[in-house]
Amino acid sequence: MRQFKIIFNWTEADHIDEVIYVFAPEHTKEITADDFLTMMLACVSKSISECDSDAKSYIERYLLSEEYIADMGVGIVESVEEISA
Amino acid sequence: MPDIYAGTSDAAMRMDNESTWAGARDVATAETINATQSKNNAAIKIAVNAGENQYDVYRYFLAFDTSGVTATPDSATLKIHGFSYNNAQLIIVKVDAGATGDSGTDYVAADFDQVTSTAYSSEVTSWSASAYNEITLNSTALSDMSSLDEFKIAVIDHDFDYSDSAPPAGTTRRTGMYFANQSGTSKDPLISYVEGSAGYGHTVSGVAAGSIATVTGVATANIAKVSGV
Repeated sequence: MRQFKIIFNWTEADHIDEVIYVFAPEHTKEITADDFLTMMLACVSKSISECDSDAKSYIERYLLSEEYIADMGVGIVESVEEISA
Repeated sequence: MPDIYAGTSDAAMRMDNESTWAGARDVATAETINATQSKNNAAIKIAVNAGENQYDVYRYFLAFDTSGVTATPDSATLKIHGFSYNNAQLIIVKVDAGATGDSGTDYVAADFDQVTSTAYSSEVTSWSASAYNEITLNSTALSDMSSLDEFKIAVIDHDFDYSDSAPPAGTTRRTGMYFANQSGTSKDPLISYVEGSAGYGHTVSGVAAGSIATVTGVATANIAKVSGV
């Protein structure tokens, strides 16, 4: 099992979200853990809206939600790191 | 009426896009966990696509420090402030004491399967998206509030998740709420309870302690044990 911590900084809402995303054998994923990390690292220091379309879609579908992002305003992908499982 | 606020260790956990119902509901470890979120428009969610091969299951875990509750409360109400969607029917269930999370320790993804089939409430069939929702806790919950120092609960969907019934094709049900990490406490989850009398505080012959005044003529406040228990 591998897991990653993604920190979103909502500058307008003055809030930090720490999302843990887990790759376990029992989970169905359309992306490998390595590809996920590469995709997300390319987003670091960018607002979610500035991430490439694949990363933006993945964040909207699996890490947060479109409605939550719309409600919270500008969200910066502050960091992405693999953490011990 | 004392209040106990949920610890900020609460967490939203989710499984997304699994090809089978069991693959989304019965896994040991959640795919995504957020223990820092302040609110979620779809904290509780059950969804499946038209092809019935992409299932989502979302749950909300929280805990209360009930070490100060020494007698079974006469009644207790869980209050959760709604937010956004409100079309999932909910139920409050017990989280196993073995879960990592408690009122001072963040829940972890591996706690996803620590929900039990023990109901702490009836089905919640209406939900305000813009005010506190008051959920009456049952006698099992009242007993556990006094016997456990950490009162661990989960809010889950009733009709499909609790019932373990795969949703029909095209179903999407979501209910949103505020979490303990919301700034201030005006929208935080809490339990308001009516203190019970000190004394024997356990169910006797299937009757909740809160409903018992005496046992064989002895006031419950004067009973430490029944038949040595």
